Amino acid sequence: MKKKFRFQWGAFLLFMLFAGLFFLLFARIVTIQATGQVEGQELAAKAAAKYSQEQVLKAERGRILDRNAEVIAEDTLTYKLVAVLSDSATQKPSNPRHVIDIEKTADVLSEHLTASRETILKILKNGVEKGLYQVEFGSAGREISHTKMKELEEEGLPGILFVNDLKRLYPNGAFASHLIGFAMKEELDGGQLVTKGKMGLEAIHDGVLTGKNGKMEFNTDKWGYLLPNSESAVTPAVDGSDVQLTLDKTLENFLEDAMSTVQKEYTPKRMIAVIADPKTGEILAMSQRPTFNPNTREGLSDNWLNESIELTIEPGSPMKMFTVASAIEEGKWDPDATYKSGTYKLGPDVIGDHNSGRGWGTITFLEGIQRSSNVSMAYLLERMGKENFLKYIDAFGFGEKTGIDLPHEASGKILDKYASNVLTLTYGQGSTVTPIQLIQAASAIANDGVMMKPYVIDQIKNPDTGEVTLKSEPEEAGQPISAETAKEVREILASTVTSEHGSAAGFALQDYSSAGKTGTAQIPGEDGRYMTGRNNYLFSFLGMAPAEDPKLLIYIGVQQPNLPANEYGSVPVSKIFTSVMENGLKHMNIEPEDMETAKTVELDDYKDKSAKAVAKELAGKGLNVVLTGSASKVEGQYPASGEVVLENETIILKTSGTTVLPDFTGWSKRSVLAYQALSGTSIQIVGQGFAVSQSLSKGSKVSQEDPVVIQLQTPEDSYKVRMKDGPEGVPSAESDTTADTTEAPAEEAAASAGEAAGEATEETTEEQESEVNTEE
Amino acid sequence: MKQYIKRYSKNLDYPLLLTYIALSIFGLVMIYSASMAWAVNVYGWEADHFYKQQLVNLSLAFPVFIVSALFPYKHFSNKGMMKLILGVIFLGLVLVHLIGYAGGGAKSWINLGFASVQPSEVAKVGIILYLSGVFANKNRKGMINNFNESIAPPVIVLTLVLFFVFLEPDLGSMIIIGAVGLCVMLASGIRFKLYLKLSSIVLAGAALFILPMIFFAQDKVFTEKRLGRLDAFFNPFEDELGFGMQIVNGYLAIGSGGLSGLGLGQSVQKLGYLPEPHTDFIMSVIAEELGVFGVAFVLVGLAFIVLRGLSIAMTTKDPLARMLAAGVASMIGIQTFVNLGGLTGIIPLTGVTLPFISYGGTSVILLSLAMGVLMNVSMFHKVEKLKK
Repeated sequence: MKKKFRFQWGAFLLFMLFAGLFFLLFARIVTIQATGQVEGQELAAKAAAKYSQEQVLKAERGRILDRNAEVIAEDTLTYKLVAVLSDSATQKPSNPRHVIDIEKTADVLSEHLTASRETILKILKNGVEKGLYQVEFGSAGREISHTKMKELEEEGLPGILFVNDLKRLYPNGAFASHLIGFAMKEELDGGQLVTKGKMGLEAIHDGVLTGKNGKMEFNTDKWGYLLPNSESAVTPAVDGSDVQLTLDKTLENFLEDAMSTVQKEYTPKRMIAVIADPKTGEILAMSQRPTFNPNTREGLSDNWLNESIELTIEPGSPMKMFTVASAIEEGKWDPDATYKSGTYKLGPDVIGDHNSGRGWGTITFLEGIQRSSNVSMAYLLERMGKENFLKYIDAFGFGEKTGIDLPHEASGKILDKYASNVLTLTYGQGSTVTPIQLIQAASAIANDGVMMKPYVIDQIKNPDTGEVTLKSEPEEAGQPISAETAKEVREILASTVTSEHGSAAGFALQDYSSAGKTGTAQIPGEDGRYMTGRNNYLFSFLGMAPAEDPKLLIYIGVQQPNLPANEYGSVPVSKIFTSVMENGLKHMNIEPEDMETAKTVELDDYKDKSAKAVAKELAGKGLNVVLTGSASKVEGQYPASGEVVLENETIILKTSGTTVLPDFTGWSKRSVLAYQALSGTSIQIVGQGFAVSQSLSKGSKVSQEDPVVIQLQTPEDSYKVRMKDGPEGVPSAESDTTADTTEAPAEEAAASAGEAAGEATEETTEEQESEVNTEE
Repeated sequence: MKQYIKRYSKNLDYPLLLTYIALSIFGLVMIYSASMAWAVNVYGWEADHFYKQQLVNLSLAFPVFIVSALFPYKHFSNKGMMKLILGVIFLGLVLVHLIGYAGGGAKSWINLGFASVQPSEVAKVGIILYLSGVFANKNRKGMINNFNESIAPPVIVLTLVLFFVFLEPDLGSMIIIGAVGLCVMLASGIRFKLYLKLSSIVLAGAALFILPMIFFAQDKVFTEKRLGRLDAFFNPFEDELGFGMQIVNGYLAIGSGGLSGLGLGQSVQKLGYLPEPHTDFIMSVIAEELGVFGVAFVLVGLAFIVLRGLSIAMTTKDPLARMLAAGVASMIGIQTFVNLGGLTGIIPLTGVTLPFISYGGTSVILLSLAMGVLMNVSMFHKVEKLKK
């Protein structure tokens, strides 16, 4: 049998060949299994790395909140649109996961996004040409709202994905913008986008606001599903801390609205306003103009200063409240004592009251402050002595930073080298202060002598950990004056609003008493000299309300408004003050006070009635009745029927016949104009305000051709007239000022003779205008 | 009849039968494991889709195996039978050009309505049967070493088949068919010198055919894909995310499984990382899940079938039996080597399935047909030995 066995060489060769190949395969596989390496690569580790995914858990940036935890700034979820172009994203043709029809995609996207069809098509085409996996659409494809995202999803475009994208949102728009600042996305070197605070509190507290991103490590299969039995390691994200401010969103909105209204009407170069709680020093609102919308940064100029604390100004007359306070504290204040107003000499220097140094004759010190007399301040300084006065200036915190919890605070500069410096300092000229210093100093007056350090940050608290990194408490900044002194100053200041000489009459509130001091400060121009011109002043008010127990303290500065010919610079300031204070106090649920309200009378329609009977009836109600003629029947009336008028108001009844002129003294411009219209006499009005003289005396019979010139001037009993009576009814302040005020360079101006700080200005122009008119 | 069955069962090659069944079942299990996630996530089918389909394939394949095992192999040298086989081969190859569809690159599938067939798979087995028949007849006539009469005609037929497969273009199948053809010829009993001469003629012919093609149609032959694959073969890790990705993922599977394996069902690579984990890359999944045990099981099983076939070829006196056994064994051996060699970086990666283990209907049915032939040859060989 063995002999018969014929060894077949071909089959044997094959046997050996395949035996060898199987051995080779087995050896190769087992080698890889045993060593775990191929070409020096650690396979198991490589595989693990391949399965391991890391996902960034984005930390939310902390919010900025108001005192009631209302949102001022927060991160909101928006979406970023991504178009996947690579067909490798699609595994099943029935369920495409990449853009299939570029044209159609561009059509649909352009309907929803801000980018044009061409732009989108170009991006898509470019991406396809370059073989990119996916493309984005720049700003047009960012910050897509949830609603928009849903709309786009419903279009069912393949390959259109949405990636979560956090955006910094400022829901209130322009809102304390220079204080809050803004944060924006910034690209890091690695191409990673982070939100970074760029300005204001967003920048100052960027560190605590910025959270710490966490990450999640886990193993997935190729499709992104978690691998079974694999553990995931999670490092949670720590959201940024919330910065809660002392601001009150409602008050801030009142302020912003009022500022915007005034901004629109008067287009001033600059406005600054700060509202504080005088009892705690908490800043409740802070605003300035021009401002900007932090969402879009529209309106943001080169000026990034938070001017309430970073800008120094010559304060003007509001400074007088501290001079008076110092005098009272020193026992040098006697409201009934008299002095000769007009001018005051100190060595070679002469200062004057703002009505060109004419003054008001010999008046009491109370009237002096009510009229904002510079000379009265000079006498108070003389009584106190320079050193004593400066001691108080220092105690009130001027010349040094308040220490508010904001950086870059300015300190201002108190000039005290020469006697003349100190002299002008009594009425706020020459030396510089910041608005926040005025607020801090005035808090002593509002808060019974205890000066409160201002602050804006209530607390910084992390919402995740509950950790409080900062908690502010009200902090006293000294007690420059006694409680009694403070109370007396408030009463004096209240009288500037209510008294017949009051310079702050327009600042009266409907339901609350108010106290404060107006200011009309000169501002140095680019050449260092005080600017000239009717509008070129910083009109301001430092005030508080209610006067008896102030709950709100406010500083308002309006620089270089475009004033209509018949308005004073204090009008825009008072518009802000009255609306913000009135609304603000009501918002704070402060009980309106029992104001002494004048009796009012509602007018009927008196047409065709007996003039005599009507006159008698109205006179019985305490009204002044003026008839334009001698006839017995009433043909018309002013004010119209249905109007409600105050006691002592003038009622004009039109009757035909000979016109006998009444005594116009005290008439408002509007009343004079009404009389002119009803009587048909040709009246020429000169000046602004209220009538003080007339060319033909009372009782003169006039025909329509006889010209009557009526001189108007600042009203003396203006405190009775309210804002709502119209612009003519808004008396502002004193009258007259020196004409040469603006000649002197800024630095010497303070000391130069006839120099007027403060309110001077509106009257400057007033006077000049009057003169011009008279000349005509 | 009863006696007939008894005689058959007495002569059955049980080790071969058991190995065949064991590998098929093992393959079925691993197909289930490998394809579950893939079926759901890629195709959106049920997790057991491929498992059930393979079960159907096997239930069709096993009757085919039985029939071909009962079919006496001598009939393969029958002229009519040979014409039928040739007819089927060329019908399929021509049809695939006319009505075929692409199943991933090459246009190599024909849809028969109830099932899809790969004519190149049919050609693989068909060419063994045909060549064995031709050479056996020439052998019997004693003119096996006559080049013009005996060798040239079948070589021309083989070349034609190769050309058709090349057109699909299914290079993997072409190489396997060519190699199988050479193996059958090696076992045909022609003289060694003639074989060398034949081989050099074939090589020269191939060179004459290929060189001008490289020269004139460079861009078509060396497509980016082919060059990339070639480059990935030499430096897979340098293009891990591109052409090297498949082979690297195969390595990662073997490497992370280690010697012990991660356990049945625990492969991660099958979860989207390996392409078609239930077909070409099934051995990577086996290695990852079952470690050296799974690898050894498959390799030993396949080696047993191949080497048993070749040992029959070595010892049988009947040239037809020898060539059939050598052809079937070589085909299985070559497919195994091309598949696993590609997976382990010994040769470049080609899309060839692992016999008995990989998923695939045509493949498993034709392998069963071939196994039936081998079984039949083995049974006659056993009888032949017993007679002596």
